[in-house]
Amino acid sequence: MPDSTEAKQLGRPSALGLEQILKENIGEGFMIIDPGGRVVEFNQLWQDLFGLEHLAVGDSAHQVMVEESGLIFDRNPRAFSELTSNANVLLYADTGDGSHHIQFSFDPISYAGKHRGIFCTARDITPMIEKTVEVNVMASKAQRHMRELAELSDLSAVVGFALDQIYPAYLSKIKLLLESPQVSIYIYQPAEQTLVRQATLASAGHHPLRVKLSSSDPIAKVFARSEALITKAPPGIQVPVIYHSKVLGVIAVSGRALPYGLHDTRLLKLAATRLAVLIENANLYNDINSRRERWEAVFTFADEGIVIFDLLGRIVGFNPATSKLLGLSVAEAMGQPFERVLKSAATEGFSSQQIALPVRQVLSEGETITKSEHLLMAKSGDTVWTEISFSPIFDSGGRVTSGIAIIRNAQKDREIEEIKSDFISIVSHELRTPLSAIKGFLSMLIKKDFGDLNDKQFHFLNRVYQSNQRMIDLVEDLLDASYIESGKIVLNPRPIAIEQLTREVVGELGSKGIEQQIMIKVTRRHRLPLVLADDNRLRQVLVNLIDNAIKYSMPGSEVTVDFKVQGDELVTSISDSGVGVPPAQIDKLFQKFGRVYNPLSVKAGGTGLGLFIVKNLVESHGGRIWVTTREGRGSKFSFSLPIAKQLPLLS
Amino acid sequence: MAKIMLAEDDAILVEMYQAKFELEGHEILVATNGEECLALLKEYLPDLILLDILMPKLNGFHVLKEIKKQPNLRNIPVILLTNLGEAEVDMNRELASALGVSDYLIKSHHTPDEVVEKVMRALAGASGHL
Repeated sequence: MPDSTEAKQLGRPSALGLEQILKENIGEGFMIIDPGGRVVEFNQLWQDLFGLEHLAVGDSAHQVMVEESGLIFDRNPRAFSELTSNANVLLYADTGDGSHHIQFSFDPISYAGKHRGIFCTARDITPMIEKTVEVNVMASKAQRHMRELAELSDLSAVVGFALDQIYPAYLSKIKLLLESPQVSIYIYQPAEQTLVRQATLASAGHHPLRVKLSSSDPIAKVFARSEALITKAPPGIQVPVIYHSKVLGVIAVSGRALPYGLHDTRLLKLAATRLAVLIENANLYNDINSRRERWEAVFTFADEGIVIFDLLGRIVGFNPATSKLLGLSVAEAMGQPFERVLKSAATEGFSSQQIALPVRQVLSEGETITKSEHLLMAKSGDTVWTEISFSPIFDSGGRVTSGIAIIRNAQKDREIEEIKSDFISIVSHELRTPLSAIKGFLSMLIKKDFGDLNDKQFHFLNRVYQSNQRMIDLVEDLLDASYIESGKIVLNPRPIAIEQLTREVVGELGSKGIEQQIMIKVTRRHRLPLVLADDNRLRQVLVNLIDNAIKYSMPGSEVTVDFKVQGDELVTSISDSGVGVPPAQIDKLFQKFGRVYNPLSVKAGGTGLGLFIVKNLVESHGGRIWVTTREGRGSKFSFSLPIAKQLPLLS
Repeated sequence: MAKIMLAEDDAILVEMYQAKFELEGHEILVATNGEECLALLKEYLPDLILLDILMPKLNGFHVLKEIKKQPNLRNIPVILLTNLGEAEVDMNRELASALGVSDYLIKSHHTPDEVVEKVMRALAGASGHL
C-alpha cells in the first residue's frame, strides 16, 4: 500500500538528513557562524532575504552582513562576529531603502562545555511593524479625539448668564482645544457697526480691540459672510458665532505652529454654536430680568394694593401696599384663596359674597370689573375705604391665565368728599338764611304790604326777586348734588298720577313758556297706571326737564310731554325742536357741571347740575334716563319709572 | 286774629315774620331759642307754634317732643319752619309726621305771605277737628 511505503520513508532520518530537513523547511532564514566569525552554514531563505546570491561558507559574517549589506541596525551589531554572552541577543535592522524591517536573533552554539559558534536567524517583520505603526497612529488619533471630546464636553459645562464669566471660560477651553495661545471673542455692536473684542488671551498686537465692519480684517469678513475662514500667514482661524442664522460675533484663534485645517474649523464651529446659545440665553435672561426688576419695582412701590391670583383663585402676588391695607403679611397671604382673604376683610353692611364674587367672574368669564367701593377691615380691626378693580390676565392666545386686583385706598377721597359735602351743606345753610330774608322782605315789598311803589321800583324789585330766586335754586342744586354724591338722598315713594303732576308743573312753568312764545303740550293718555315715586323729587325731575326744553327751544316752537307704558315701567318723554346736543357731548350731558355750551346755554343760565341731579334721582327710583338728539333738530329726553302695583281695593 | 308763637334765632327773619303777621292782624310772641320757647309756653298758650329746627340750646325736634309730652300743649298745631334743604327735610319728614306736625315748610321756598296762608289753613284744620 502506498501509505505504508511513505510511512517507512518518513521514519527517523539520519543526522545529516535531519540537518537537510531543517535547512529546507525552516520558516526563517538562518546562518551559522563559527567562533572566528566565519560563515559555516546558511539556508536559501537567508540569501533571499538579503539578496546575498554569492554568500559562501568561509565569508566573514560581519563583513557580509554589516559592512556590505547596507542594513541599518538599531545598535552595534557585534553579534555577527562574536557573542559576548551566553544569552540570546536580538537585533533589528532596516534595509537601506527602509522598505523592510528585519529581526535578527543570535544564539550561542555550545556542546561538551565548549563554545562552538553562533546560530543566527532573520525574520522579515515589515508587515508587523507596519501594523504597529498604523495602530499607533490610530491610537494617537483616538487619543486626540478623546481629548477634543473632553474639551468640548467641558465647554458644555460652562453655563450661566454672566457673560463676563462665560467668555474667559470659553477662551481657555478653546485654547486647549485648538492648542492655540491666541483666542479672542468679538461681539457685534450694531450702533457702531463694529465688532468689539469682549475677551481675549492674545498678547498685544495679535487681535485688535475693535474691528470696523467695513475694514478688510478677516474678522470683519467672517462676520459679513457668516463663513469660517482659515488664514495662512500668520496662521489663524476665524469662525462666526451664529444663533438661528443671526450672526452675533466672531471667535478668532491663532498662534499655533501647525497650520489650521478643516478639522479645527469643525471644532471651533462647535464651540461657537454653543457660545451663541449661551450669549442668546444670557441676553434673554438679562432682558427678562431687567423687565422683571422694573415690574417688581412698580409692584413694590405702587401706592395701590396689587394682588395677583392664579386660575384657582390663590394669591400668587401680594404687594406691600396690599399688606399695609389688609394688615396681612406677604408671607401670610401667599397661596391663600383670595376670596377667603377678601371675605375676612369684608365689613358689616357689605355682603362678603358680593366682595369676593369678582374673583371668580374674572377667571371664568374673563371680565374686567371696574372700581367698586368697599369698606375693608384690616386684621387690626381698622377700617378703610377702598376702591377695587379686577381684571383677568391673558396669555398670547387670549386664554385667561390668572387675575389681578388693584385695591386703591380711597379713605382720603372719602374724607375729602365728606369734608366737601359738609362744607357745601354748611355754606348752603348759611346762605339760605339771608336768601330767605331777602326773598321774604322783597315779596312783602312787591305785594305792596308797606305802601305803593312806582313802576320802576316795582319792576326792579321784581328783578331782584328773580335773581334772588335763582340763587336759592342754585344753593338747592348744590346741596342736592352733594347729598346725591354722599348717597344721602332719602325718597318717600308713593303711587303718583304722573300725567296730573306733569300738568301742574306745566301750569307753573307756563308763564315762562308764554314769555318765550313756546307752546307746551301734554299728550292725553287714557288709563295711565300710577308710578311709584317721591312726589317732590318727581316734580323736581319734571321741572328740570321741561324747563330745559323751554330754555333750549326756538321761540314759536313746541315742547311735548308724552307717556308710554313699557312692561312694568312708564316712560315719560319730553321733546323739543331746539338746538339739540352735539353727539360728542352727549356723554357729558348727565355729568356734574357737564353743561353743553352753545349759543343758547349762555342765555339759559342754570348751575350745570340739573341733569346730573335728574339722572341720579331717576336712577335712585330704579329708573333710567336717556336722550335722543340731533344737533340743530331738537332733543327728546326720556325717563322710566316703575309702575306702582295695584293695591287691592279696601271694601 | 290768632295768637302765634314764633321760635326763631335769626333776628332779621324774626323781624320779617313779625312784620307780616302783625300786618295781617295777628298777635306774635317770639322765642329766640328752644329753651326760651318751652319756658314761654309755661305762661302763654298760643293758637299755633311756628318752630324753627336749627336753634341754639335746644333744637326744634327736642322742643317738639317736649310739647307733645305735655297734655296742655299737645294739641297746639305746630308748623316746622326750617332753613334745612329739601334733602334734609326728606330725611326728617317721617320723624316730623310721627310727631304730628301740621306742616313742614322750607323758609327759602315760601314767602311770608305763603307762610301766613299755611298758618291759616292749619288753624282752620285744627278748629275743624275740634
